[in-house]
Amino acid sequence: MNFVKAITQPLLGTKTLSEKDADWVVVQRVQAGDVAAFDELVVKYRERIYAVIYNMTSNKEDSYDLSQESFIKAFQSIGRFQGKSSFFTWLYRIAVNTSLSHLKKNRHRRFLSYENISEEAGSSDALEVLASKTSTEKPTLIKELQHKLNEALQTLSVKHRTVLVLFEIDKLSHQEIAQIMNCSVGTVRSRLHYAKKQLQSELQDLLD
Amino acid sequence: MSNNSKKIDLDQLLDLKRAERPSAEFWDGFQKDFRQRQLQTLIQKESPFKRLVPIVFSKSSVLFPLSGLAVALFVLIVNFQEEAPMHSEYFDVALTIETGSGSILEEPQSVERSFDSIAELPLEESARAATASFVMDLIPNEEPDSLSYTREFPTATIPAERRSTVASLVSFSIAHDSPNFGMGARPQTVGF
Repeated sequence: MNFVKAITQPLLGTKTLSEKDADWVVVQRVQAGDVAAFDELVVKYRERIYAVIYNMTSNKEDSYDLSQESFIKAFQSIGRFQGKSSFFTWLYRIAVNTSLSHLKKNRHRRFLSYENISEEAGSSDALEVLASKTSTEKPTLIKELQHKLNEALQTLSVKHRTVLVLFEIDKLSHQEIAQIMNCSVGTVRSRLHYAKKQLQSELQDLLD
Repeated sequence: MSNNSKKIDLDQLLDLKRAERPSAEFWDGFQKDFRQRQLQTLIQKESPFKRLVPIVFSKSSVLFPLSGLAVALFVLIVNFQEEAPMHSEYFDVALTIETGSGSILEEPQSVERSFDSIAELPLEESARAATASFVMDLIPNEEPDSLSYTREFPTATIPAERRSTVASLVSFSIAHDSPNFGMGARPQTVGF
């Protein structure tokens, strides 16, 4: 399944051309002085930006601040955005770089605080299988899994974690990740391969 | 845990990560907070140095000679400071010998002149302008009690070219955030 996804995603792209154009129209309005129009872009991308940052930091308070900071940075430098890449890629790049510098600055301070898990998680396949194997109640099992997953993600290096989050959780293509992280598609692939291998070994007891 | 035929893969486990997200109410606060920060960035004056930095860095052909020049200047200044006391001493001695009047302990006249010129300097215009201020009914705070909350800004803190932008953004913020506090029926436009 992942193989098919890896082949088709770069061809199809997760962002359509019209979406890119729609963003560009809003960006031009902001550049012309209609600063309130930037609100539309924040509303459109806030959840995805927050999710990426949260999955990189595993800390909801930091994610809030870093998301705000990323949007402010984007707003402050929107005058320099020329529309050569999509606004979405540009914004992701700001968010990823903001998170990377935050993680680098606070590499000795590691504090995790988790976000709420939405109700739909209660019916996920993984949870059903794990619940059938143990006598643990579902809410407790969800909490345990959340802790183990976040702990396992934090064992990865920042660059490996970023690639894994962008590909596996945010479903971006290799091409898009390469643009965001300013590296080659080959580098993205090798980092992804290593990150998955390491994460699998960290979560071995859950996957067996 | 391992005595079951059913197996789960990494992708299924990561579904749980995708399910970690804040509630819908969280985003109202997020948006409001963003608008306030956005307004702050517009109100703050950008220093001319901050504007100059990206221009300088965008031209790498200028950057290298400039950094070389900076290093050379630094070396010159450090050398000059190390040698400066000796030069002035020689100068004072030479002056005494040439004119035949005054002593080595007397301060050179040029120093006195420079103190006079500092005293004559006019007050900065910005200091005077900062006294003028206006009251702006800004976005209300979290608590409904704070609806009457006002914030004072010296007009001088808002760059002239951004005043209309700030005014439109404040109007927009009030229109969007006020309904939460029962102020939706009160249309407001802020102008300077």
